[in-house]
Amino acid sequence: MNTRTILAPATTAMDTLRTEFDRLFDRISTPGLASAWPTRMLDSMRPHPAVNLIEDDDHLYFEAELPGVARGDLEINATDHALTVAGTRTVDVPDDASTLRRERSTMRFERSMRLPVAVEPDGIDATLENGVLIVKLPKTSPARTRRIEVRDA
Amino acid sequence: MNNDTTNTMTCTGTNAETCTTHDTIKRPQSYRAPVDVYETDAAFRVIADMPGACSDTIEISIEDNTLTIDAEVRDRYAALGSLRHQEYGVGDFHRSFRIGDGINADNISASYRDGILEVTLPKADVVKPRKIDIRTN
Repeated sequence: MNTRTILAPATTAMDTLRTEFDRLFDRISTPGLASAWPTRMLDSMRPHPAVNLIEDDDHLYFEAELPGVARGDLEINATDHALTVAGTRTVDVPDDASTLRRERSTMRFERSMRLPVAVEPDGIDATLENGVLIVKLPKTSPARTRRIEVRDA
Repeated sequence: MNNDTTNTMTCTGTNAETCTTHDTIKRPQSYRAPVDVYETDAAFRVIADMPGACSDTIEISIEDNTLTIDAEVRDRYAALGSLRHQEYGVGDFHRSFRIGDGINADNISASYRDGILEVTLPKADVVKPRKIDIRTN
């Protein structure tokens, strides 16, 4: 009697499911378009997070994507010419669960940036919303952009 | 919520007032969200980093054994100013996976918080491990 054959069906459904999740998890349904979805985020949440800097006439906006970072785990320090954002992002592994795929990680991060114009440290305002940090930095008066009207001669 | 006009989309959720897009121009770039996948006896859990997504636009679908997750991300910069320095692109998120038949597709649930999407895919009864009680006399 062939025991292997007898034992096999009991786990087949589960194994198939698990294997497909494991092996094919990455596969995009239209393989030809795979390059249309670059793996930006794998690089974004990292020990030195990527930063975008936006500017209007009166402010600089320092933006970083920090999904899963709580306000209490974030520390922001500023001078008139530099900004440092530091914190911890914690990834919880659910109890009684086995891990099939792990692309996110717990990490301590820190990012400093020298600002292109002087800002007023006392007027800085920060919001953290849906995992996006935006630090609003008012430019010092001399650094603000002024629009000059050309008058008729 | 206003769905009558095509050029204004407002999403409900925790941050409705700031989660508004004013343009219908499709940005060319979509991004692959990083995920963790966990398995318990009862379900699979997919956890994805999708910062800045509009919670009302998150779509989770299963078709032909493919689980697809899409989320729109509003253009955050139009309202703020111009980009002075850019290290990452902002665009919609997309991810899709092949899954087996063992998912109870009618009972998939999801939540979005702090930029993280969590999807719970309950297993169909046929693939759940069964506990067999052993009677003692």
